[in-house]
Amino acid sequence: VVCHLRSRPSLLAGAILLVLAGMSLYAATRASAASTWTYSDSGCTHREDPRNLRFDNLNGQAYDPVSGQTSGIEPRILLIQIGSYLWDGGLGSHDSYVNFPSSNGGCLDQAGYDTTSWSSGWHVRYWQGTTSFASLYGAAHHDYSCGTFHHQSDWWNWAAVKLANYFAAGFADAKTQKTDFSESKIRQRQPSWHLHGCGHVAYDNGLTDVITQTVPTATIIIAG
Amino acid sequence: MSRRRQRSVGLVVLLAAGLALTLFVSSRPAKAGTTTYAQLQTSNGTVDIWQDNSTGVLTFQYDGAPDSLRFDPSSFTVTGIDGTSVVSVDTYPSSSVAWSNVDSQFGVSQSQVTSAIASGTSSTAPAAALANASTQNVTSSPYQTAVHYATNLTNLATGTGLGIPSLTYLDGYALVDTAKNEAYGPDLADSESVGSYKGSGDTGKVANLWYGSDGTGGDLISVSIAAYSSTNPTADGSIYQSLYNSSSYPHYYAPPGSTFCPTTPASTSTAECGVTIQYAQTDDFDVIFQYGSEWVGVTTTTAPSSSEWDTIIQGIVTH
Repeated sequence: VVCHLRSRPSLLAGAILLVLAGMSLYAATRASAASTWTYSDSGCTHREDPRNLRFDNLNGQAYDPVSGQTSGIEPRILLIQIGSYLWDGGLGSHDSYVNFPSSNGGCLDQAGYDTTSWSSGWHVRYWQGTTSFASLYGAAHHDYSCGTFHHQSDWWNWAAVKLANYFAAGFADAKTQKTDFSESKIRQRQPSWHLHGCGHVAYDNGLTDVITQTVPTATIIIAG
Repeated sequence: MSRRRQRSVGLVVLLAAGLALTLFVSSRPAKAGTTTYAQLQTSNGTVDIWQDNSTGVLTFQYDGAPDSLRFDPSSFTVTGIDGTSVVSVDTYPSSSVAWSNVDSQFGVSQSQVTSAIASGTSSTAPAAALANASTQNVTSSPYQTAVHYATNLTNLATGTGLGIPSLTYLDGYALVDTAKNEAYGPDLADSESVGSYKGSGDTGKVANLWYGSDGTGGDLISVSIAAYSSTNPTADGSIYQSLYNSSSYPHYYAPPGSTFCPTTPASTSTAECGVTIQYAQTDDFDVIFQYGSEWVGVTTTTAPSSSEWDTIIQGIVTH
């Protein structure tokens, strides 16, 4: 009897634990959907642009043709410099965030950008984690003017294609004069259509252009 | 009058006539077959404007910017152009809506543009005048089209041939615009390539309904409806089906464990009551589910809770 009495509470407790575990698992699963959008806020809650570029295996150096010296550079500097050969001269860039795993910095502001945008133009932002540089991220778009001193984004796919094509086929290594990067496409989001200000439709085909460094070291020139 | 004096007078008359003709030609408004150019100063900068005198088509460009906008006032069509590549073509339901969008983008009203062009000068056509979507390589130069119907859901259904829910509010947000959309370009990932389809991506017709406003005219919830195509793997409907069938994404019931009575595009029969709707969540902001014979993709601005997703999905399938 004692055994019976003791076993029934145990069964009940076990059942409760199972339900709780199931609920926890359900909640955990619901919350774990990783987003490949960028965010407009430092809490990483408000969707902004598709994170439509990924840069793998970056390792760069800067070469000073006057002194003949080379020096190591951060991966983000390599991206900013190469991107500036395509898009340079714009006004600036608002804060924008990407949600890295907590072990790699969590919700982080952009690490740099390239832009041609004054009233309108092209714009790409880059993000770099705090501990791992295996993959850096980018989000490219076109800016258009909408209302006085306001910009909105569109042409996401076109912007990513332009930048990816430049890295893979437009940029030549400062020392070898050869290609340093290859380009491929992966699907990370479902296709989606967004209405932005002034009646523009921004289409995201859901693809991310993956730009992979194919040489041990990519060299860019710095001014002497 | 001597012959020599007569020749001098004749020369002066000829020179005067030539000068007058030159002045007339240089000051006259441009005529049909030519392009008229004008500039307007706005709070956002100097806007260059060209008008094709034979068609009335206007091209706008912020001075020095790489991209421009071509506007056909007769068809209410606005074409976004990068250099000589078409990137977007939007057709609006009325002249006033089209002009309003041009105005809000460039800070120039219809009357200002009309007045500026009236006193403009003859010019060569801008590079953007050469842009032609039908001849461009969409693999390297993708573009998209939109036919806007404002909030007219009947016209959206007619224009797309797709089943459209009669839904003017969703999750408390009002319908702000609808459109038939289509995009052309590299719409498949490398792993999704199917023979020659890679890079020739045509999304097929997609009906989009946008709800709520973020304060700048942007939507808060976008609902995309598309059909699966057995012959086009790049169609949005085909991709939705493929992603929905993928085990990579979690699937949920809306609402969990209960059933309700959807109104499908194909039938309003209550025989279909008791259906449970299962949806795939592909991102914090994105879900996919089936609606009759169509596929629906929903994207939000902030990540909904599971109960909010239930509300959104039920709102769509029960209308």
